[in-house]
Amino acid sequence: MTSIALVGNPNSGKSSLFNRLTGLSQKIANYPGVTVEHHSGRLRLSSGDLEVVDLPGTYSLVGRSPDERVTSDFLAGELKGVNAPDAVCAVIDACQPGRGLFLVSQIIDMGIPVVVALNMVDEAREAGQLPDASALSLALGGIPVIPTVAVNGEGIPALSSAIAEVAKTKVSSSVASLWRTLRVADAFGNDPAETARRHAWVRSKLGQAKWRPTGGHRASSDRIDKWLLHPALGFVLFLIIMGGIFQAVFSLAAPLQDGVEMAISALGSACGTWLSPGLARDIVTQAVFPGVGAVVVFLPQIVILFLLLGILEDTGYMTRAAFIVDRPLRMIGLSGRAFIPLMSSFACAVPGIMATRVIEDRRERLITILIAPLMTCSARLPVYTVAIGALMPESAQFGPFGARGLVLLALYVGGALTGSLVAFVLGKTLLKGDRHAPIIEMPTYRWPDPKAVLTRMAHRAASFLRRAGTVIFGVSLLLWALSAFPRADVAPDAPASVTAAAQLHGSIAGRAGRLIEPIVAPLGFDWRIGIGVLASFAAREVFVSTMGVVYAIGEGETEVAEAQLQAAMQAAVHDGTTRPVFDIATLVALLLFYMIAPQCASTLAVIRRESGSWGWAALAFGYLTVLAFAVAWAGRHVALWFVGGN
Amino acid sequence: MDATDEIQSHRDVMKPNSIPLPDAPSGRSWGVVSVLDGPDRGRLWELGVLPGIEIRVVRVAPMGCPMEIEIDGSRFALRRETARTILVATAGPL
Ligand SMILES: Nc1nc2c(ncn2[C@@H]2O[C@H](COP(=O)(O)OP(=O)(O)O)[C@@H](O)[C@H]2O)c(=O)[nH]1
Ligand SMILES: [Mg+2]
Repeated sequence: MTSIALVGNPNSGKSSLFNRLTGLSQKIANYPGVTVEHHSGRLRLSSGDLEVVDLPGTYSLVGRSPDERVTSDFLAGELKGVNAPDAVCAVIDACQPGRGLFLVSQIIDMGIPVVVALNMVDEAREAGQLPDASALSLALGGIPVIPTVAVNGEGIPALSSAIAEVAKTKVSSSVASLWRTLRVADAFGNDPAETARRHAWVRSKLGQAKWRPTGGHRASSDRIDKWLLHPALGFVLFLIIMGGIFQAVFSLAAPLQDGVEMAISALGSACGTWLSPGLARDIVTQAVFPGVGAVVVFLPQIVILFLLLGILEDTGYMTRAAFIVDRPLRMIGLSGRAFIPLMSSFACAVPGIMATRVIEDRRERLITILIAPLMTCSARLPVYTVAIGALMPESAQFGPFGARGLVLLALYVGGALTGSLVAFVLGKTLLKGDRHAPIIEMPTYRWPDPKAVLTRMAHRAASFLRRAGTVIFGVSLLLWALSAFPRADVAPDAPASVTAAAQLHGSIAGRAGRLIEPIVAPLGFDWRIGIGVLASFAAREVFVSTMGVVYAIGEGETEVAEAQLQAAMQAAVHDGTTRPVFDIATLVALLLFYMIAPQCASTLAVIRRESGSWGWAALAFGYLTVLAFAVAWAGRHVALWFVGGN
Repeated sequence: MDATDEIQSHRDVMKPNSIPLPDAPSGRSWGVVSVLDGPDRGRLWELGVLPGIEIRVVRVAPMGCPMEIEIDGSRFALRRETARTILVATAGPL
């Protein structure tokens, strides 16, 4: 199939055009560097279908950064497994045509047929600059120039037919080889005279089209930036905005979470009454619903956090946030570019680690990947909620603040500080070397497009659910099987809780828990917690449902009632003694362990994929596990020293 | 970097009336004299930072770095050390 590549500067609207042309929804944001790999879709035309490929934004075809190289390699046909495109649709921001035309001049030199989409003409018009597309086309020697507004679809039919037209012209097969020769000779970009000639060419073309670009909405953006990037206030406003996001996530998500919880438990009980007693019913009510439910409950939080981050991304504020935090992040060896990945990791490390692709510097990217799991993701919250609940009553106060909330805050801060420390150490040891911070474009502020924000949020939510539906579902099943077999022999008239306890004790899971008890004993953990720790290597939130199984909560029901679980945990004693399992020191150790431990199979898998080797995933797993043990052990002893006891 | 480049950069540094961009008083535009060798030289060139072009520091981040600059209606954020490689003319017509 004939293929067309969308090529243009970062943030010129390529992905928006791609979505318009193909009807697909690809990630769009008012943040340079969002498209990091190529995506393809189909443009349906009366003359037949065309393949359209969206590429990372670039300022030239030199390929100065990994994502820019994707674009130039793709055009040269050097990207593994894909053919070079038959034509290019160059996307130019009508408010910044100079930089766009610079790129066009290189595409023309490559000899690929090209059509120009002059995008964002709405903004240019508002800024009092109505570009004359036909004059520009004439200046460019007849290359079609189509004015478009990707966000509302203006000009898309004209662009489609221009693309159809240009796709008919055949590229000479010598182009790719010529291009390769050019690149070997480094003809582009390393010679100021050559670059200056190109800029002069651009100026002359703009002159011939009688066009004096203005840069768009700068005046209103500058008025906003006067406050948001104010030397002193800017940082305060940044903290308020980020604090506000977290506050909103917690307060908005709570009622929704209750709703989700109720719906799942209702569904579970309904299934429970439908199915006749037996293995199938046990699986459904004891494994499927509690396991998946424990994860789905966090969907509201993830959705709300991604919604708010998405809105901020689309307004253009995130680039400003990166600008503001560049200096502070530099102290730990990172740059402003690490901000969005780390911030996203507070929802879930998986999308956070994927977002590190915008970081050009390989070492910085690896450091960011390695510390992303230390940001408190929402999967830790169920564990924290249960453990903090067992640690202190709801009414506990510390000064004017609720003590539970303060402990939670301390865990968030603790994770972030640990991450900073690790980043600093990695930057001085394993991943030391000069960092290179790229030059980043500052876009103008824009109103977010609700449809774009919502589709992006839906994508992220769907990928989270897919994870809940596969990994965690599988793990829940496996875990249930491990704790349900071999079947224990108990008197049929024994009370249900005795049966369940005996079952667990004799099961494979129980044996494994006792096997690792000596390892976790220094943290004050018994074999039951050991099972929870083992099980939650797949995913942290599994700990809570495991404790539910361990303490036989919700026998016959599906809902893992939090209060019930807390009561059971408070009543639990070490086998054969009256010593409580969950004393203060153990709970502190448990919280600290979960603050650090890399208990998430999906995260490790994504680290492997993004770093390109199992080595980094193994390193992440190893260092986080050792650190988690050390910190939990230290925390336990500090707590023991405070409260007394052994 | 080859020898002639090095000589060229030294000559640029020595130019009596050219100073690194961060040292130039802000609040007005300056003419670019040259870009010193560095990891971002090629990028700066292709963004249009070439001799004779007007450049302006728009603002500086809260802790003094990075800086936001304007060239040809576009805005970019770059770190202070990168901005130091941009030499601008302090006086006289270009
Ligand atoms: N006003 C306006 N905004 C646009 C237009 N095209 C894209 N945008 C916005 O510009 C930003 C960047 O768009 P995107 O498609 O992600 O650009 P890409 O980086 O080139 O893929 C987003 O906030 C879009 O909503 C347009 O024609 N007019
Ligand atoms: Mg894009």
